[in-house]
Amino acid sequence: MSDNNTVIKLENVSKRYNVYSRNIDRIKGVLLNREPAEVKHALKNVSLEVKKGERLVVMGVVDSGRSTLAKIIAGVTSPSKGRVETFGKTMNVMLDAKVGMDMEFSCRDNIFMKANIVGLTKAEIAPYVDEILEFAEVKDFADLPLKRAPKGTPAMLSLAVHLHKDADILVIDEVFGGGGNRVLTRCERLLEDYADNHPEKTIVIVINHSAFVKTFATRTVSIEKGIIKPT
Amino acid sequence: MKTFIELVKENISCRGQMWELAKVHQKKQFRGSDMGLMWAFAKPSMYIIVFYVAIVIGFKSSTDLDGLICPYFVWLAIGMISFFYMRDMILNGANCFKKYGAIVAKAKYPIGTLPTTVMISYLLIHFGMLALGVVVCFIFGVWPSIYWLQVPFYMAMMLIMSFFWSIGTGIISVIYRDFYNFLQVANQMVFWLSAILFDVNGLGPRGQFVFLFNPISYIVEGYRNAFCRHIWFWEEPLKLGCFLIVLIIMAAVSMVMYKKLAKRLPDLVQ
Repeated sequence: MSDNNTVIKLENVSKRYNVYSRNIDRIKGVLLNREPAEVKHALKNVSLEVKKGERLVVMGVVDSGRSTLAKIIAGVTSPSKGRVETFGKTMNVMLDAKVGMDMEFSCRDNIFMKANIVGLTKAEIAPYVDEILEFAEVKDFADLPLKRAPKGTPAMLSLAVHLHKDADILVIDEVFGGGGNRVLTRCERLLEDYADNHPEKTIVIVINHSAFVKTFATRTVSIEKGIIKPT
Repeated sequence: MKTFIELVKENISCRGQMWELAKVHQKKQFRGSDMGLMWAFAKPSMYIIVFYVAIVIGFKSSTDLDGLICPYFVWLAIGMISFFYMRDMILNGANCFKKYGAIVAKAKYPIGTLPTTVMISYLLIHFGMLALGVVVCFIFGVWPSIYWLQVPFYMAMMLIMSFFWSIGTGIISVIYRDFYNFLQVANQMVFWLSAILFDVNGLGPRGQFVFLFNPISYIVEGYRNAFCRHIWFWEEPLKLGCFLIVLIIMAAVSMVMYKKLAKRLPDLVQ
């Protein structure tokens, strides 16, 4: 049973991806609903409720269905079966750090480009640009192309931009792993500060870093071959 | 109709995001070049001059067209300027969802605005080219007239057509990966089959009938009627009617496709 505090509710959600080997099969499958040669079941009958203010960590290995779960909660993709409700709450979704960014543009430009994708106007993000550059440790070369910045900079810039968006639910898929320990630690610390300062926000994050999970999560679930298991 | 209204509402409410993304799109095209946006005007201008030289000097074709109140060069330039926008939209409109595949698949972003984003980014170049066209008019002694007021009408028709085209073919390109390659080849044919270099009015009745159902020809002719022939759009009701029939069919097909497949695009585009 859900109560007034429930902000995300998944009921018997399944997600299948059709795999087509030939172009013509793809057309038949999409337009005529023909059965594909191969079906990949990413989620199987998943039911889940998340309460307001919860910090839910979803753990699972690659290809377990964790990213699909994040996408479905975020409303980026729809389930093949079952129901998803977010009760009209607003979403802040970070599934891929580099979406909306361009390595040839400067770090500063990329902050504005990312903000636009996130739904923040120039005026809304402008006062925080220096702070974001400082967090990502790229203030000295803010106007140089992003490709010349240290590895992991897109993830740090992206997270910092996302956290300036005011939304009820924050959904993050594991995106800060690529930059090494320094990036991971900085991003996790920023996320912890954000969660502490905004206890009313609901956070769903897909991550496998166990030390962070212990200190951050108020609840964890693990996902294995598309099936959710409480931990 | 409901899908169309929802799309319009989405486009209006997200106009700021659309505008910013269109500007980035524009910047990316000429990034790293010293002359930047100048290339967007230099290439089509060169095309116009080359075609003029080839037709008039090379083939020694007659430039004495019926009802023309301006030099042939102005007629050619105005027609080609409107065609260049449609040519850009044929290819880039059809690529709108694939080009922004990462946004479609991995961001909470209003994807119904992506076709309009591409339209806006090329519209900026079109405005520049149109301004250049006006300068050409002045150079050749063609001065503003009341008929120029119908340019916004033809431009609106061109944009509405580009919108439906982008939605429909953008989805087909995602489903059928060879479609974009096919369009690249077909785009060459469109140029020769759209009465850009020759005058439709000079063809026989059968030829004119065929071109009635080519919406690109209608827009090109419309721009020319405003600048070079001084004919109002309501003076040719048959042409307008046929164009609207084609437009309504395009709108119906693209809206049905969008309604059926928009939610599946994030899965299909990957």
